[in-house]
Amino acid sequence: MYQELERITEQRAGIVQERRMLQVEQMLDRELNHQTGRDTAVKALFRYWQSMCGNGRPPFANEFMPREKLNTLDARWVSWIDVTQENPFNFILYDHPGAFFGNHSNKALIQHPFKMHAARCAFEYEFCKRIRQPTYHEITQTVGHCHRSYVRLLLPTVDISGNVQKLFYATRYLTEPIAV
Amino acid sequence: MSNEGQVAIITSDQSWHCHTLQESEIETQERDTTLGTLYRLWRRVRGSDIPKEDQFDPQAVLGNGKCEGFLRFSTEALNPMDYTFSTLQSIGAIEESVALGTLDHSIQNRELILDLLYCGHLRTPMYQDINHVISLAEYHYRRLLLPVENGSGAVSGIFLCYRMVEEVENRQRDRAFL
Repeated sequence: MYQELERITEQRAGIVQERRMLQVEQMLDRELNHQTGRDTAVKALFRYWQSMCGNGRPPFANEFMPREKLNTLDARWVSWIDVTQENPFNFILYDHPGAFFGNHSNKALIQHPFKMHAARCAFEYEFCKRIRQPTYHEITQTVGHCHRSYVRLLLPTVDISGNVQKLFYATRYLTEPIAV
Repeated sequence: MSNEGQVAIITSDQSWHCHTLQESEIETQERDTTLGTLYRLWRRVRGSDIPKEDQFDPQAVLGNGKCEGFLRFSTEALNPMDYTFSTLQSIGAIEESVALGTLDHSIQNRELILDLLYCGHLRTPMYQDINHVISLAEYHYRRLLLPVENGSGAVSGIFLCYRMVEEVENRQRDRAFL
């Protein structure tokens, strides 16, 4: 069992979900592909992020380029969010092709077709921005016609003044998403 | 207790349990309370959908009756952080209009924003039983959200009224028996 920092269970019209925020330290043991012996994309991104941290601060956003540094297979699981807006619903998603809810790249969270899902994400992104530390979530949900279970690691990066500018994240499906 | 939805949040120092009850339970469980009075007014002026805001005048039925919290949220903004609220009748009243985005992101504020989104989306009353434990304090209350629309049919406001069911400020004694 993984130690939970927060657990949200929600069931109401159009959405059933459980969102667990887990300890990042436990992610290190878990994000290993036991068949290949390789780190998952989540852990690969974390290792790269760690290598770019300096003097107790997150990496500089303009130097953090996971899509160039990770291998192609891992990089496809990486997306990022512009969090420079004060209002988390105005955070903008990038490299977010989206299998079930459509391509949401270059769009603000508030424009997401499932506002309740987007709202939960908004608060999680805002939390990561505020604490300036990685946050690791396990999310199992049925939203609309999609059921999926996945983990997501959020990693902050900063500008030269130390303000969090972008969150990078990698996801890994625990079970393949299915239409319900 | 029947319900139409539930949210549970557990952290190291807090728990939040919110059951959204069926609308039909308002009549039976809030027969003699301010929440019931407001709901009956809302139903009376609702027409076939939800009431027009200019036809819903809660102050008229409340008179001097006090409830523990009564707020109006302006929900015309696209972004819920830009919703504003003002206290109509409450203890510890906030007189001026305040934007939700200026509040902290405590569990109760986060969940309120989500419930306002839901209520506006569904265009239906939400009647909720909430139990919030923060460290040694426990708050148990019922609240009612009532949406109203503007002339073009958009949900322009949501009235929120709550009453405490139980407030236990110190659970030290209970813990001694655990």
